[in-house]
Amino acid sequence: MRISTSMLQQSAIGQLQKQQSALAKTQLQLATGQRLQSAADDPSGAASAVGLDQAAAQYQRYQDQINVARNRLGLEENVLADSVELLQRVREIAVELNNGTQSMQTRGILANELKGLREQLVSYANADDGQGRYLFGGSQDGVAPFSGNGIVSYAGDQQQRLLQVTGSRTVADADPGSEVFLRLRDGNGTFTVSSGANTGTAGLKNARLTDASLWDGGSYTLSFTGGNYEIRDSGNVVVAGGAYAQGQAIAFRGVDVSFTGTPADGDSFTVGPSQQRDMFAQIDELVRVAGLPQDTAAQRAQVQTAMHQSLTAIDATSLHVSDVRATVGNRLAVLDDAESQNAAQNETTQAALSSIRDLDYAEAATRLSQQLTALQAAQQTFARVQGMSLFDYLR
Amino acid sequence: MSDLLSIGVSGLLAYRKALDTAGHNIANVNTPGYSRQRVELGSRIGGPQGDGYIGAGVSSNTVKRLADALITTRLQGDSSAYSRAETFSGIASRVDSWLSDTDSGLTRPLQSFYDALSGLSSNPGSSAARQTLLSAGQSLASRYSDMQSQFDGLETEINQRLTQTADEVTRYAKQVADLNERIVLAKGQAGGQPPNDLLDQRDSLIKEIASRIGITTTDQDDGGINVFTGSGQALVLGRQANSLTVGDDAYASGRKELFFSGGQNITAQTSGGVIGGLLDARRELLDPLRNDLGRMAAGLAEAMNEQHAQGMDAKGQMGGDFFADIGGSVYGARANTGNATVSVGLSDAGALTGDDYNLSYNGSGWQLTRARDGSSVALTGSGTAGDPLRAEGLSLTVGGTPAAGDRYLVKPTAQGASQLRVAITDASRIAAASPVRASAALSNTGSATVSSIGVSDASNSSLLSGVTIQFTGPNTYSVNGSGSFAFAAGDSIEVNGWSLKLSGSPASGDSFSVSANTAGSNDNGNARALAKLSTVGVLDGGRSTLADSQAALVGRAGAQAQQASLQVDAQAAVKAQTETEQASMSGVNLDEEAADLVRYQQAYQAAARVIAVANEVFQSLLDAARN
Repeated sequence: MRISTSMLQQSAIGQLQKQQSALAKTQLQLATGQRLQSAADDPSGAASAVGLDQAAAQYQRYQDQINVARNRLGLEENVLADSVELLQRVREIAVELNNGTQSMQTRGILANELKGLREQLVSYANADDGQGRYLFGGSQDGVAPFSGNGIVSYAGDQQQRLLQVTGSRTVADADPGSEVFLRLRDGNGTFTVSSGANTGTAGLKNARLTDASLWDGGSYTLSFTGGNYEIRDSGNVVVAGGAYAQGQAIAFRGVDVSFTGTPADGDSFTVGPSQQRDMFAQIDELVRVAGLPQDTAAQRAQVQTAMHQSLTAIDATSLHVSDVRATVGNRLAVLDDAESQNAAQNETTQAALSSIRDLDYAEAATRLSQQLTALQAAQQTFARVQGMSLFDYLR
Repeated sequence: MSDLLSIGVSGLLAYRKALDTAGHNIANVNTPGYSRQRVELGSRIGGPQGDGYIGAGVSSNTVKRLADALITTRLQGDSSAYSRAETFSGIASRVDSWLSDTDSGLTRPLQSFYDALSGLSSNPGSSAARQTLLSAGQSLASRYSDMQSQFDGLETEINQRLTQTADEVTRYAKQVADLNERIVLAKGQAGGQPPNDLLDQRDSLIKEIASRIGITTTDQDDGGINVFTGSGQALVLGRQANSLTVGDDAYASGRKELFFSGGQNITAQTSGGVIGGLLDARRELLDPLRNDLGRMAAGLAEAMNEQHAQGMDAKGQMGGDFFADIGGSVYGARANTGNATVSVGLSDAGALTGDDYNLSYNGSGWQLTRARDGSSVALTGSGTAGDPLRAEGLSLTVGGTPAAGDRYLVKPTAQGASQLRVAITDASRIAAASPVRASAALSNTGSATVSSIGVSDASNSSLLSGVTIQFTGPNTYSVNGSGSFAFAAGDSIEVNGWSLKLSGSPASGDSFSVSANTAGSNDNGNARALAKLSTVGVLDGGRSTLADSQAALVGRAGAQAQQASLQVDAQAAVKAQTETEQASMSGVNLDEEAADLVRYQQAYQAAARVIAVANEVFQSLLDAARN
């Protein structure tokens, strides 16, 4: 083919420019460590990278939520653990109070300790997260939820804040105080036994529910006459009766009660449904019982009944707080699980992102040296070819 | 013997011309558009003699311009295609780098916005978290409007370049017409000999026109050339030139279109060259990407506002708009004779397509067609404010009276991104809380607890009224003491626009109360729902999240830039191939010219020698006669 001089030059320069632009691109890739400089380098890859970036950011958001939830649940767990310990001490005191050797004075000392523990419990219930947010206030956690010295009032609500910890799972970051400290009942949670103004020495020894399906939630009066007992419902209809024996279970409506001591004629006990009684009121009740006179056998029998019911309630309360603590533990476990799930997915996402975006240095370095060699060759060829002209030989 | 002298002289004259031409070639070795020339030599036939014909020397018939009209025409087409691809690719790669750059793209502000929503959901009462959300919303909105101004700036630039390029085409057309005149004249003066260098100039000018707009040419017998645009309009007809101008479109929407001699609109039929590239970029890049950006802004605003309205702010009020509403633009054709005005609202971002539409009135009803391809779009409704015309997420309201034949251009989302603006200025107005809350009475004996309470209809006027649900049996309940409704485990209790779910089983006598949340609540019910928007589909009928749409936008711009760049490479190769062919035919090779110089010089010297011989021969004759 016929070659024209200016074409020869232009095409050589065009080639040099092409090589230089490829070289510049490799240089930029090596300098930034990024394979893609813009979406045009790999449109589908860049689009996936945008999606993966968002996914990675989403995992980070879940992780932030997990951290917040873990912090608050950790704080709550500490408070619950302290509360369980406190209730343990309350129980010990109740057992001591039940000991017949206590004098009015020593009972007074114990009652004072109980009052102190109650104050302590209120401060536990008003624990905050260190950032001015009360743990047990529900969604009204800007103010201390529990207040009052007599009857404790609750300023919070029953809302739970759910935090999104994975795409599909949410975890409550606290429990409302109402569910921890207030939704509690007296007696054994189903029924209570209370003594009338009895003159005999019969005191409650044991009370338990044997068949919940038979218990109807009614109120029953158990009265003694001449060594026999009789149980009447609120309509004054006799539902059971028989001879009384000390320590022997009296069964009716799915309930077993037994007594120690000897009832006097006309003595009575009331078996009725449990009523709501919060944790603070339960301690208050213990304080009240501690202050009851125990000068006569009849008085002691009455205290025994009341103390039995209080202890039962405190036991149920301890169990309840432990249950709440267990749910907190479960939620912490869910957080751990969510964290490892997020971490695993994040790792996959990052690996995918890296494979799309990051530069293979070995490949790029090899490419750089190839391009340098090619450019050098092109430059040298250009210089040699341009140096040739027939005019040089026409002299 | 005088013949030999004239033969020698003919050689001298011919080779002198040949040497001149070689010199001219050498001198123009680097002149763009120059075609090498060659003197065509022919032998002169002598008169008949008894013993045959004795030649009468050499003559130069013509100076030939070595050019191939077919290659020249092909090169014009290749220039058009290359310029179109290069212009398009330049714009595409700029758009691509705006969208895919991490500093100027939408990815980061969108992520920060979702981060702030997530932060709010874990700490809804914190004024810092609320303030962060407001700032993140504002940065996101301003990034959208930055992006919009980039696109708007691009449109302005395209308009300016169109105007400028059309002016250049007009000027070149005038010059070609002038050259036509000169060539016809010069050819006549030289007895039909071609004015080679003028022809080169004219080819160069036509190539300049071709690189600006797609053309076809036809040769005339007198040496003139006619130039037509792709639509068949004569830019140059002999010695007469016409103009290309740029003016407003039929709707005065700010769009510039191309007109022939100030009259006919030839935008749709124009292709190729810089102008073709600009028009293609506007149609294939600018419009769809900008509309998509606006569609994303509309989707964000709608989804955010819808959810925000279902929450309660820190002042105890139901949430208002978080982002200001986004509306579209409608332009009435200047030729409309009715006085109707049309406005467009976006009623459902999930149904938006990102297309522009033409709305027309035929005297009895309205028709909507897609501007992109003219396909018909079904309309419902009558156009009144109460019953607007509806189609594909749009609601069009007509005021005034239209006349038959009136047309409107509907651009629903072209300016959407610039309208995105945070409507809230007071951080306490962020509706993070659920507006209602439920509680179970502490004296309840059943195991039922509140599982969740949500808002199903935030517009219910009684939403915030207090309600007591009292169980009159394990499977029946009353609402505020009246009625008896059946309940089964897992049922939702729906009253006043909220929906309550219980877990566990209620006992007779249990009660649950639902009441309005209060000011300053630290509930995060609505903040969590807002944060979930990062993973919820809001566009394309709920199939695409904003991040998906954004990835699609980046991918689309990237693919177009990549394709355009490949096309530039391909067109450059085609053009280079044709240029090589042309250079092979018409380009000057210095070595060849050097050889020619030597060859013609030798011939010239030999011819001079012939004259000397003639002289000597004649001298010998004189000498013989003298003796």
